[in-house]
Amino acid sequence: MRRILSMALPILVSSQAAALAERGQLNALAFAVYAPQWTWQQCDINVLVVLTNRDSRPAHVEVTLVFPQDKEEHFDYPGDKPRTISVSVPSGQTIRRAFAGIRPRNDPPPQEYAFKVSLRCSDKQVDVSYPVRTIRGEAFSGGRWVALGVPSGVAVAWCVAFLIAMKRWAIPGAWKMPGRPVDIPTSGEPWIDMAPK
Amino acid sequence: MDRYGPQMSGEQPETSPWTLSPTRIRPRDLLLLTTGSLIASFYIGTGDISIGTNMGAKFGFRLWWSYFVLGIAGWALIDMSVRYFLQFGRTPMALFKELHPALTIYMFLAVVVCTTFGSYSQWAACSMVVSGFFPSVPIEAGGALAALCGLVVLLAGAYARLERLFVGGLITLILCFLASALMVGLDWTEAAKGLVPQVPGEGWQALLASNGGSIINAWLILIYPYTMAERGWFSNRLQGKVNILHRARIDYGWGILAAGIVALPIMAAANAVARPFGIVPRGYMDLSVLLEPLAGTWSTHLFLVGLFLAAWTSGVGWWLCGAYALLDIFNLPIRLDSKPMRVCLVLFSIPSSLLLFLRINPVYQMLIFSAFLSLVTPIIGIAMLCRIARPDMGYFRWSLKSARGAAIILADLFAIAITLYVGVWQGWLNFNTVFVRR
Repeated sequence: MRRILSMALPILVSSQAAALAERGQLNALAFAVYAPQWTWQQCDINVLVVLTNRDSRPAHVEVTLVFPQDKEEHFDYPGDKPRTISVSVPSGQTIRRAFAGIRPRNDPPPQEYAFKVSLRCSDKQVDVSYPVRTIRGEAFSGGRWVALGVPSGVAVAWCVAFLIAMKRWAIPGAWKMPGRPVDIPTSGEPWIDMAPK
Repeated sequence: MDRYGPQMSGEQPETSPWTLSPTRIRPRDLLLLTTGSLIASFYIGTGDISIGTNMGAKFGFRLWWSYFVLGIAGWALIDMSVRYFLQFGRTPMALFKELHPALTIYMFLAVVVCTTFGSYSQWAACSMVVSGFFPSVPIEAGGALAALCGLVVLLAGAYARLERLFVGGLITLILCFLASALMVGLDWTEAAKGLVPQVPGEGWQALLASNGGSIINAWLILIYPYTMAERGWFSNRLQGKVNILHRARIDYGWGILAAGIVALPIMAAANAVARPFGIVPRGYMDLSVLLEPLAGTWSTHLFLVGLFLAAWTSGVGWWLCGAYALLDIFNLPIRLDSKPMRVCLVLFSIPSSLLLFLRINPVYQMLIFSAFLSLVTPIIGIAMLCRIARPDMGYFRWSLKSARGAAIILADLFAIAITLYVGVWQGWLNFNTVFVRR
């Protein structure tokens, strides 16, 4: 079912995938790198790497995420998260790894960044170019208390607006008195009062 | 004799509780049960999608059972309010007014705050989806347009048409999410195993509590009787009340079931895309972006369409219930096509749209929103339980003389236990975390 849908829909409406899906070979190691090609500011980018070892011996590979030159400070990527991952892939196995939580900051203007994913095995190296574009996302500068206080103030102000509006139609003291029972419909749906057979 | 007179209850004093059989529903009449989709809209919004995404990313399908177990509690809460309405012809708001005027004041504040913030977060989600398809469109414009469409639909004032729209929206969003998940792969065997209650691993309680807060909230107790008033689902004859209760139970049962059904493809997508990499998506949009590299553009597009429909119907549902509740507080007629209703809808639309232009992170409002709900829900739940446990509930009173009666008591007590757990244990005792830097 999955295969049919995956094959049929692109045929029906041809549309380029706005994502990086780069596949390649590094010695006997097959690799695939997946990542989105656009993201909102303040929303995480996750770069996914899949490594498959088709050799009879284990393969040792280093995968490095290279940030755009002179623009590293445009992103929040905690220091305890690795930029280079060393992986030992047993023979015939597939291993998945990710560089997760790369967060574009709010301050720089939206733009395209040139990341790179570098894979190194023995004496061979392959570089995968990874361009990613940021677009403006939700943001409010002023701290947590402003973000809490402003909407709260709006809500309180609107309570006053509702009171003024409802006062126009409601009788005085209505908010304290239980309402009268609902009127019995004069012509209800026929099934309501039907007796079971 | 019932305190409101025989006119109101219409029951013969000697009829034992829970002994009458309802008229059987024809299969085609099931298609006419549409208010359940309105109920579903409350559940299936950005919160439900975020929770499902986190569950799938952390535990796969192993918390899927929680939707149905918590759903029993949600069903019982609605059932309590419907039984009260059928017995006395009054909405639960009357019950709270009888308790103490302070509760009415609190309900008024809660209605305005929760409706404003609840709907705002849905319009913010709509704006993010529009930006996903058209990155050059300002976020504010996308969200405001979605809100305006919602307002136009509601101001048209045709309640029956609104229900049909919600049915269509619900079915479409289920299909979108399902198609999106099928493209990444859905392990039906693992999903079925997820229906068995289990402890999936560390951190499951927080997700369970979040899910509980999403499924079990104060609006459940309020909304269904309003829709019954709109549709004229009321009778002064006992058989009529029994028939209405039977249909209503299937109706809101479907609504609650829908939340669990929608959760399946969302969990499947997160399980397939995020979990293998140890990624926990932070929000409802993160998963849609993760889908694209592995399942292609259409998987993301379908997910985004489903997300938009879920958020839009939820935003409209928030306004509808909030406006009904305000009319009820001030003893005005519960009618979608009335002038006070229209004024309420316009007033709600203004702040929830304007907040978009301030571009404030909805996370902060949701903290206030959650705090309000966690404070009020246990009180409302206990008030409702105490009221419906009284003997003057007539035919719908608690009774251990039959299996049906005993089952109702169990369900009611279970609902309140869950409400207290979510509201008091997770809400009140963790209230201070609203102000603690995460």
